[in-house]
Amino acid sequence: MPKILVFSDKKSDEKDIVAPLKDVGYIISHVEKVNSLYDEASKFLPDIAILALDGDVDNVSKICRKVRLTDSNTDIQILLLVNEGVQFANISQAADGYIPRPVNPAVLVSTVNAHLRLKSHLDIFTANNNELAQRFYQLKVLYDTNSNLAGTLSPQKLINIMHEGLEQSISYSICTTLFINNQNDIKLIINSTYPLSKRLEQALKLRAVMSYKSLFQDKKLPFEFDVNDVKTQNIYKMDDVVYDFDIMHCANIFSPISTQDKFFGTVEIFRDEELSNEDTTCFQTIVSQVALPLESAILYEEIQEKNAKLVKLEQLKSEFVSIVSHELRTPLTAIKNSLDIILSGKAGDITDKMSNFLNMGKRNVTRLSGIINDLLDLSKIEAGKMEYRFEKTNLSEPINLIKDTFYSLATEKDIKLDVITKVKNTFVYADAQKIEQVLSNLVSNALKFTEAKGKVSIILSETKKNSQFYQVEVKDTGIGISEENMAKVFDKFQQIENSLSRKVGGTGLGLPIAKEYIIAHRGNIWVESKEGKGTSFIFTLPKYDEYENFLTELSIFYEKSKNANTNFAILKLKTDDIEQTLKYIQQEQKYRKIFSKDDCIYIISQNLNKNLFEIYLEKLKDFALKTKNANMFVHSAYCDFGEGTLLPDLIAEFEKM
Amino acid sequence: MKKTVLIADDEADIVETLQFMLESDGFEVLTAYDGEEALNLARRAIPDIILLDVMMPKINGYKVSRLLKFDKKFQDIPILMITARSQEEDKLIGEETGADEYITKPFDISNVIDLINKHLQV
Repeated sequence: MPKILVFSDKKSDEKDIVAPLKDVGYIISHVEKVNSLYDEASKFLPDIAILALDGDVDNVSKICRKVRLTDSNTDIQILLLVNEGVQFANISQAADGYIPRPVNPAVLVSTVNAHLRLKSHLDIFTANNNELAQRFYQLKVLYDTNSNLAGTLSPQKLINIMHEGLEQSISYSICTTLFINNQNDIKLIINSTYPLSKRLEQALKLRAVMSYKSLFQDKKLPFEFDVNDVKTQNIYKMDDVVYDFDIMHCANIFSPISTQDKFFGTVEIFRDEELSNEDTTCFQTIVSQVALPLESAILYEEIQEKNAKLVKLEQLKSEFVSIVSHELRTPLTAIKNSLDIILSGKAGDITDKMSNFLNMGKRNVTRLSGIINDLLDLSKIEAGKMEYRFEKTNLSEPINLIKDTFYSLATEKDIKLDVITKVKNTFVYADAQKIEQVLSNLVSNALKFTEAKGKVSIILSETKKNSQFYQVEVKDTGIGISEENMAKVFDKFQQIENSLSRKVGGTGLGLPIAKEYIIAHRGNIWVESKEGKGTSFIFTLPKYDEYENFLTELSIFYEKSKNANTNFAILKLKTDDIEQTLKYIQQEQKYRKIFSKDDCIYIISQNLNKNLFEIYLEKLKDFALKTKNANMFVHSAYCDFGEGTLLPDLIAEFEKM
Repeated sequence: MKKTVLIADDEADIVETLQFMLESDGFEVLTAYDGEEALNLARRAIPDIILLDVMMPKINGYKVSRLLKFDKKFQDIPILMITARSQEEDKLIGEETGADEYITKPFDISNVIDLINKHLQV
């Protein structure tokens, strides 16, 4: 029944106002003093207040506002009793309506009824509005939770995000999550407002395990465990109260965390207030959202673990190859020495036949040591430990050197070996020794597979006119390579298999090594061939560009100093204008460990101060860019100084600073 | 006057084969089988040239070389380093420790003898 509060100190109003409303059946509370008006309003919680107020507009507005504020949940409708002839300038500001005196009972009742209807509509509207706001908030929490989950690859963090989402959207008292990472890592994470009594904690643990087992009923459990295997972890916010068994009577909701074929655990929340359908939906949505990222996260952890193992294995493998190769060299030396001694005749006379076989032995020792070298090189490449000594190099130098080296062998086999140079001043930034090794491999292969009267040419040119690359082609008129084999020539050990049928020696490691070297030079290598016509091995190298090389060197050096397990690293710079360069490096940063010596600038970095070192490298880059034509470039950069490898005077210089 | 060569290597077979060849070429040969022995022998007998293996027990070849090369009394004795490793950086280390030549196993005895002769003539 609608409740109406009447405020009036006029005796006649009991008859004029209260009586007619009572007759309709409304519940009336009549207050005569302003002092008791607000108290009564907050206790009585009226739907409508009829106030007989005199005085100025401001005062009336103030009283109306105070009456409204007594109940924040609904809008009390306020009607003013207005004396005859009084005009309020703006009544709508203070009240919802007015009843003029003298009061006509019919007008009074109809006005009250109209406002009651208005009030009931407003109440519905407000309730809907609140509901909407709540749903909107939950939706936002869902969205936030979802995007947080998507960016996380740690199972523990995912569980935390889920808790946060549940807390924000449903505001639980207790949330228990049974999380099964693996058989040996089972946790019950309890998030609660207050701490838990020991027995409640034990009970929740038991409850979680029971619920888990009941999920699978008679079927086989994905994980077999009991209460003792579960570690608990309680996170609470306040500690002025301790939760005990009575919390179990609260509203609660439970769900497994699982994808279609994987099971990760269960979640249960307890809350004082009843859970609406929307709360349930929200709970289930959040819990179902966490399952998939959790699966990825657990897989990711597994993969990382496996990856670490693989890296370790790879390292062991290359260490093994390295040690074995070293160990092989010593006995090989003794064998070779013994053969040499006999062949020299100093240990007694030998026949031609003996000499022939002894030479065969010696040849094979050489071959074996070649294989060991290749194996070592490859294992260094694979371990990422191959050292390159890049320098400004004219490509025609290694080419001519290789031509001279192989000239007599070619003549012996009656093969014409020539060099064709189509461009001059072919400068590249390269490790000349590695390029020689590549060329040596290509030319010796070419000679191997070419018959007498054939021809092997080394052709040096640009890839295109004015392009960024030079190109070296080793071309023979030999037996050629079938299409099927062409794809495989750069694979490891490929030739070893083939050579059995072709009866041509070689390790089969030469080409894969060559490929790695060329790639490390930022070039490319490939093969073109026609069976029976001949083969061309072609590689390209980028032309020398001072600034580019400077940047490359810096980044290589930086990577090395970052990864190296070293006490300090030295960067050695060579520049045409030492003073200018030094001044530039020193001007902004007080970096003391820089000095110049023998036309070079040395920058010493200690592990402790990598950030500063990084800033320096950035500055150097800057400098090089600004003075691109200043002819400043990294002469050499090296790091990882163990005992005895650092130049003694450099150490002294370092210690002085 | 016969020239004296000190051979230091923990591999007896290598020492023996080198010794045989050098002696038949008319050198006087001293032998040591670890770094400490090599260092003591070098200081006592002052050989004309030293063949020094890197990987030796007690004191490694680099250290032996450095100790001799930083001592005025012995710094003029040529040192030929022998190692089973062929990496570039090892070569660098060898040079920094003052060795005069760097020989990689497996080597050619005739090359070693050529190198010895080259250093003794200077």
